[in-house]
Amino acid sequence: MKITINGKEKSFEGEVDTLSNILSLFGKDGDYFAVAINKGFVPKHKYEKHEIREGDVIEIVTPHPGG
Amino acid sequence: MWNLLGKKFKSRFLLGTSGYPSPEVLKKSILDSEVEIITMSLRRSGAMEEGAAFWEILKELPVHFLPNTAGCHSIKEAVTTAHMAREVFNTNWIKLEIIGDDYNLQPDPFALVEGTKILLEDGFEVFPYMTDDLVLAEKLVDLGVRILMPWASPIGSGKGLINEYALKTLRNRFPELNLIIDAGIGKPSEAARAMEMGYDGVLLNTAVSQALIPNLMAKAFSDAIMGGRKGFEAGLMEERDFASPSTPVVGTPFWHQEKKIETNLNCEKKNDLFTP
Repeated sequence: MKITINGKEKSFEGEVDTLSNILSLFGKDGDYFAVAINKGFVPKHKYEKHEIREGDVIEIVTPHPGG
Repeated sequence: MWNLLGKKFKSRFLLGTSGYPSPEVLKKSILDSEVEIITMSLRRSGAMEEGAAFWEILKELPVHFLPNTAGCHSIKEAVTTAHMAREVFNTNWIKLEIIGDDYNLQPDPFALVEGTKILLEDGFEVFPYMTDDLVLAEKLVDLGVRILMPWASPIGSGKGLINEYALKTLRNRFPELNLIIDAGIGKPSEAARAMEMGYDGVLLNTAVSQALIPNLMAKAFSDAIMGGRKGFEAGLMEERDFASPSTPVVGTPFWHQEKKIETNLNCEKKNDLFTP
């Protein structure tokens, strides 16, 4: 399965995986990040059940300075 | 105290957190100026190494976060960013910024109205970054926003209040609404001027972060904003086209004596002319 995470294409084994598993591969936990898939917000309580599919575009964002 | 959406603030200065030389300088700027509201953004995880360092310091400070949707060019992007920001920063405040032109970073008024409508329905308190257009403001107020944030001039330009007439018109039209100047302020005197006009607050970033000594500039803006507000509350005098002595005239020593002496001297000169 090929997906795009923060603008970079990544390959994973299998056809479907959960968002929770994908995030754990990146060491993402805690409160200070959020996720959008295909430009739609996915709240934290849906990570466990949200299925990631071929071609999904995932954005993982964290707090940064801003004006 | 300033009542902003049910919260009480001593400071009417909202400070942006971008472009500082270091996290320590930003922290000092926040503490020295005693700002209580700072703006933040969301960016891709790991996109900027220093982003994490800034957050580690900022999250410990006694401030309220106002996340923005900076960089968004579409309603969809802005709405999704707002939802992500609500989860990360644990606030329903959002500075809604949808850029319509990349040259002057002018907000897209049509997308702003549409995005505001969606986010209000989703339970957000929208701080709309907007131009100073009166009709746009009316549309946003009709939707239910409780705050308007017109620009003074384009972001980061430091041009100050380029259209005082439009800003005054907004103030007069919406006397009960919280109006915050957002963007374009370059000097403390310009911030003071906005506050003297009756604006409720000033949000700025670049004028502080790019100063030679950012924390000193932050304090200068803090003082100017406070001074301008006090001036507004005290009631500014009406401007006049003529002079008026501030010192009482009654009891002035030598009152009209100069004129009498001149008159007497003139009479003496005239008498001399007729004296053979």
